Amino acid sequence: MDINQPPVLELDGVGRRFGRTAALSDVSLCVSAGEIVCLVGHSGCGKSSLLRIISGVDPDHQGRVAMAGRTVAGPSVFVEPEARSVGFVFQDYALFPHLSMERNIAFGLSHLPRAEADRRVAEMIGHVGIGHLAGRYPHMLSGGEQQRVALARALAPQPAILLMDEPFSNLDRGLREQVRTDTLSLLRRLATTVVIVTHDPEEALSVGDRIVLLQSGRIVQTGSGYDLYDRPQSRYAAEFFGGFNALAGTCRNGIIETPLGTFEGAPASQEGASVRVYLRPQSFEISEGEGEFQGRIVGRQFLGEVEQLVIGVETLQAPLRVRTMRRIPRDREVVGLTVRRAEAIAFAA
Amino acid sequence: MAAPAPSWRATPRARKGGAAWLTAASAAALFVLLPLLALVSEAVQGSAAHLAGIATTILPAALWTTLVLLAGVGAIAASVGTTAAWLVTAHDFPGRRMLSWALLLPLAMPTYIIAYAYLDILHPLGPVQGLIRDLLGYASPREFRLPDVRSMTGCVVLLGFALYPYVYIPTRAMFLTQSSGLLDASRTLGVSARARFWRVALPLARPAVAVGVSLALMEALNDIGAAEFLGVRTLTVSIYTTWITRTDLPGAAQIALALLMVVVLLVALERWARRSQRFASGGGRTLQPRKAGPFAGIGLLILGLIPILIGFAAPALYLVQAAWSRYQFAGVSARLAGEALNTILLAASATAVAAALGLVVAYALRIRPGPHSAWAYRLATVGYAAPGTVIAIGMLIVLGLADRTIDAAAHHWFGSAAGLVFLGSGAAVVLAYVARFLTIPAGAVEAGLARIPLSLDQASRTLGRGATGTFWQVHLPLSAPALAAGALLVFVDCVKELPATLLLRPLNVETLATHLYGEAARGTYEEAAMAALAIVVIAMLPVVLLARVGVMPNRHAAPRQEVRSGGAAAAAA
Repeated sequence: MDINQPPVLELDGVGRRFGRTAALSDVSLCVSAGEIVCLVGHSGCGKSSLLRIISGVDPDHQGRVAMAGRTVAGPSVFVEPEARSVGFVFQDYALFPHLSMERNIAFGLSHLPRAEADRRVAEMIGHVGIGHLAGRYPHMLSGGEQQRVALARALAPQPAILLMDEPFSNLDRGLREQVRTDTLSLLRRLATTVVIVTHDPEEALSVGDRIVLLQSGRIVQTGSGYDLYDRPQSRYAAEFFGGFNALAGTCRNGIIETPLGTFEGAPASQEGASVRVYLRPQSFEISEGEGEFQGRIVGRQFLGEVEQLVIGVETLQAPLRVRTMRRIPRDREVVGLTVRRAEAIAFAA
Repeated sequence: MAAPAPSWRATPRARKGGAAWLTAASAAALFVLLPLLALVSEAVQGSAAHLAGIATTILPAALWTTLVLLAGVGAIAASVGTTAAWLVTAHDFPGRRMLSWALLLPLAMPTYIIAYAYLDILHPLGPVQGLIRDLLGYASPREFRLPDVRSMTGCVVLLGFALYPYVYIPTRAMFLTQSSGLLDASRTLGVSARARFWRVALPLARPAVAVGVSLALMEALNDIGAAEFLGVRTLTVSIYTTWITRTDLPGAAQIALALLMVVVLLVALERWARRSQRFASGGGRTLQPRKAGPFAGIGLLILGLIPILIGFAAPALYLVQAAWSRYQFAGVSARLAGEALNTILLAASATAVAAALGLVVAYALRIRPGPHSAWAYRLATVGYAAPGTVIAIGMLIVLGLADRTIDAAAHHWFGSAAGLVFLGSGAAVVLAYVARFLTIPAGAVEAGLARIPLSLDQASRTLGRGATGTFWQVHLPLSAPALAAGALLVFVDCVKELPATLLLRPLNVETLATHLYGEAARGTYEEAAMAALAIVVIAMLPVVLLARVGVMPNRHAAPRQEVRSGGAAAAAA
């Protein structure tokens, strides 16, 4: 990547208020050419507001938005959305119901000569594989087909950046996987710069080159999927990407005491401070014999490769979720557990 | 607008899109408001002694007459409309489907036409009284005659049967959407069939009845022809005579203000009658009609046919017969053809202007939501509530002033008279129509736009269209059906309109409605039946549309709801 090239998108201290509540505060972010950035967070965290600000359909915000090194929204400047060269795929696809599939895709090409526009439409139809839908209107298309038309329409004017707002959330679970894979391989092939919004942690991990985790309108952590999943820097991040067992603990002499024994790596805090320790379901060794401690199986969920067990432990109020590839006999009730303590993560409570 | 290489047309931060729309919407609101403000200003200019004169001579009697009329019409419209609605929703009998749309037909019969028709039908020498005398064996009207239809009673009955559909429509809709669960529940509680109507269905439908009655009464207040023909001197009639025969504009304005007070009272009454009503129908099955036995079924059918017979079939048949015999006698005169053309030209011009302004007002609400556009919308659509005479007197004041100013300016600058630009050209009639009926296209477009998701606007913007381009290529095509339905209703209302046309038409310009009025006032029976029949045929268009669609593209109800409660909410959404 050319270092001297300015980022495709640069956000600098962007904020947005609705009345008294701040939907976004002090969001700064750079997106380089060809990068796929995933904004993720619970609903209401401000991620969709941020997309609207980037696209220019929401002009009422603080801070600066720059594209290709030029300010498009700042204290004294505002470029209307139609002049920003952004593509937008909406959650509801927002296909024009009065236009056929082809004319939807051609909607953003009115600046081109007719033949050129037709060629571009045909090319996009080929890319997303919807040639068999020629002449259909949006209401005659299935959800997956509508999603592909929306994608083709947004990409047809060759925007500098593509914004996608929960583009897969309206699809059935089975279909979603397929459409997501197809969409991403197309975006990679076209080297499109993308900002995609989702509330689904798994989707975020599988989609983005870089993940931006938002909480109540602020960025809490940015990094690769591995960074966020393996090295969460806050309780919020740990809990968002989920699956952890949380233990209450206390700092004593630089180590953490919990009902499941002691852990290293206490966060810098004073003696006696309360701490939460997070343990993944796969961070336990399970045995039919003795372990560090004993647990009683209260629920089992067989997932194929692994099995998830819900195990009650006497010293804990909430049962532990434990994943194992071992096959535990169905009539087995009491098992031994050993914690791989190095994999634990701790945060101040 | 080159999309791949963005043109960095940066605009100052303060200038947001859509400002032009907001300005235009505010101008439309001002246009509607101006005649009402002028009315107030003119009324207070009349001297106190003058006002005292009006207040002691004309007002008390006219006000009392108007209130009696409203009470009577309200009672009849409410009972006929509610009964008819219950009949076709709670019972199943042969002819029920036909009846449920045929009950709408009196909507096509303007009040002045129904009165005109019954003057002849019930004339002592007319068909009905003749038949009764034949049956009873009397030889001449001197020996036996029915009470004169030219009376308060006659007026109340005729208006009641002409206006009950305003109650029938919302009440029927309410009965239809009512969950039958409630009625079933009351059944298990041992409530009899008759009591279920009185104790469950009717109280639940009260808001709908209140809305319908208030609409019917507004029509009754607006009426000038029926009251005049039947000799009932209401406020509306007094305004007309005060201006036409005594050329007393301040006096007319004062009575018009009194009339406006009655409207405000009516609106307040309606709100009171709907107070704290927010019934969510519990979903589930809708009301299932109960099958009636063969004899009961025929009885119910006949019961349902009575309002249609009185409110539509009898006068319509009379008009067809009278128009046909006139046609055989003299054909269609060039004069009547010219009047038909005038009617269509005036109505079409007003429809075009109203549709355009309605678009502006509703679209401003969409692209610049907020208190400013919400108020513009609200004020631009208040004309629905003002009777035609009130709007006309207000317009007369405003446009009279404008005409005098233009004429003086022409004298000053060009040395020649401009004449009466507005009042002399028919433009005044068009503007009055627009002010009165703007609420119809505005409400229709607003409802149409509300169904278009906001993401379509954003999609269009990010695909390179500006606010105006988005309007032409997305909003207009998608709200076109709603706009067309609204325009049809405006056109028909303009064709039917009588009071404002009477007051504002230029000398020697007649429309179908004023022709009919003139003949009825003179007591001549020439081509009036043809003119009336033409109006009724045109007025049946929206009724047919309504019967086909099955829902009411309501003249007033939808936009009014919008204005009352939904306006701000719609703006916020």
